[in-house]
Amino acid sequence: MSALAATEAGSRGHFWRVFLIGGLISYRALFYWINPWQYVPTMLAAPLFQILFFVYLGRAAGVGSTAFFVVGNSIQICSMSGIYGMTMAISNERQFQTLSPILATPSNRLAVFLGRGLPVLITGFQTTCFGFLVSALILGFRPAPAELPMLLLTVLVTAGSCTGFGMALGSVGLRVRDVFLISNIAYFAVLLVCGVEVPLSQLPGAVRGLAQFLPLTHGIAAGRLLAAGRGGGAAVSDILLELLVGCCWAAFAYLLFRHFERSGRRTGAFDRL
Amino acid sequence: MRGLHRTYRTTVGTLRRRRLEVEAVRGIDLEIGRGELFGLLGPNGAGKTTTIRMLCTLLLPTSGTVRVLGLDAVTQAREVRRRIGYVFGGDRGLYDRLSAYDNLRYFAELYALDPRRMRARIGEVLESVGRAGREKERVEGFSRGMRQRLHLARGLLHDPPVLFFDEPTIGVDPVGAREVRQLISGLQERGKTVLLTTHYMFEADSLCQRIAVISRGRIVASGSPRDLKSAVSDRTVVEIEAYGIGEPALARMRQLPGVESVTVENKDQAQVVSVQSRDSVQLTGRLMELLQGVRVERIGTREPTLEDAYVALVTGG
Ligand SMILES: Nc1ncnc2c1ncn2[C@@H]1O[C@H](COP(=O)(O)OP(=O)(O)O)[C@@H](O)[C@H]1O
Ligand SMILES: [Mg+2]
Repeated sequence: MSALAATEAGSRGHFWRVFLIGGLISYRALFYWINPWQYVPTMLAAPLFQILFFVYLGRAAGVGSTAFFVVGNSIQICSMSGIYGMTMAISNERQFQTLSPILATPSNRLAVFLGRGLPVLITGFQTTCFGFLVSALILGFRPAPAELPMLLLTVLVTAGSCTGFGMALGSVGLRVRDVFLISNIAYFAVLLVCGVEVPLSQLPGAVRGLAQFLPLTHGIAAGRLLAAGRGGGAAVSDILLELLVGCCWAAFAYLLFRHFERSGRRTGAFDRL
Repeated sequence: MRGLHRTYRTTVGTLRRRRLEVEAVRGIDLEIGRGELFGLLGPNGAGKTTTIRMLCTLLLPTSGTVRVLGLDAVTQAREVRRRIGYVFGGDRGLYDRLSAYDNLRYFAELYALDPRRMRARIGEVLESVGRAGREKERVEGFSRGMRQRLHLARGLLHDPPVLFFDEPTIGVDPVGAREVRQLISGLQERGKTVLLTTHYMFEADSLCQRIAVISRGRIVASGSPRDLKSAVSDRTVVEIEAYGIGEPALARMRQLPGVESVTVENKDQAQVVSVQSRDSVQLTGRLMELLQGVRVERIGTREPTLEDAYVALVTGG
């Protein structure tokens, strides 16, 4: 064994270092929109236009309130990071062919995998906060100050669940070429299905059922309750559901990754990415 | 530390990797001694990478066993991973958008290096591959040779006793390739066990004490470079430099009695045809007959080289 390895690759110290430091390094390596030239247009400008577009569309058509669209869209834009960012942060390993060297290390796989999520989650959180902030400044969105802490919590949980969902896409991308096609569909599907622009009650039953298992649905519901000043107590169950959905997706994503690692060892699928 | 661990054994016994009916490795038995620099030599598609990936725990053998330092690469994968470095050729395998330092830093974390020593260690390995001073530059702008050295540095980070190099000089310019070879032979001096694959004859010849020639998934010969040469010592090689020898003429050369193999290399506009045979007495005359009407610059006989031995082995001569 190497004399240099002070911490056992199985130890807790190793886990947290790979999770935090490793996660940040790989995020910088794989998340394309990190430099300001891409970050500003994709993570700030485009989402902002999305909010404005739907709020004004709603006003022009006389449907929904400003708060309905502001909350729905501001929360949904965190999936820009969660869905696209997470797909990149995992499946771009393919393009750089760095998966083999990583899998040849004794590192803790859970830490390697989940570590990529934290910076993506934070990026998504920022995007949504930015959305709310601008909405407050130019659209007159005024949530009750007392609800703000819970609203921030909702945003955090939802950014997390989108990240978990994106992890699953990332894992799929290790196997499937052109996973970004799926990510594109996913981004617009959640826009339609998860009650962002259309109240769930107006969607067909089957779609409404599906929405229960997707990220955003419960988070947006919680956000709307909070924005309407209905109190934190009313939103708790939705926040917990959103958390549950996110954890399930993340767990599924990790299992999928491990499955691909194992089957890759068996079939040699990772040699030819 | 214990007696058991002192023998380094790599036995890749009767492996069968079936995929799309491709049997990439068909029964390889190899044992590499501790501290040895061993060369696995073979043409493209011979099964070198497949073999290395099984040794690196990245691929399971369809059958057979793979042991590294006495540890089973299938069931004790994690233990094996701690003790090996894996370096492959080609310009991928690094994060282009990160600096050399950050590329190494990521792997230093994955190998669980002592955090207090990490920076110093990264400096050391960069130094040892001659990359000190440029560690803050993005890999994006690196040349093939620089990338390869960074690959090498990564393989050395955790100071593993066993290193696997899969065609480490592929696509590197001659000067860079030479530096990479120097680094590899320096590793042996530091007591490392190295398995190197290559399809360059001279690389195996100049670096390795022992070579195994692999062709279509089987070891067709092994021994020191000198042993391999002696396998063809009963042959002579007739070398012809000429212009415009067609396929039909080459085919007829292969039919001549005693001819083992005929290979063609293009040198500027000329062709250099090497004809290996066991019986050269009448060969030159017969070849000249065949080549009537062709402009022959030079024709001569020479002793077989390791390259000829290799060509004979992989073409089944
Ligand atoms: N992942 C894979 N799936 C299917 N066939 C493969 C795979 N990897 C290699 N092969 C095939 O196995 C054979 C040996 O390949 P490889 O081990 O890469 O040879 P080498 O490294 O000596 O060039 C080739 O015929 C190649 O096409
Ligand atoms: Mg190869």
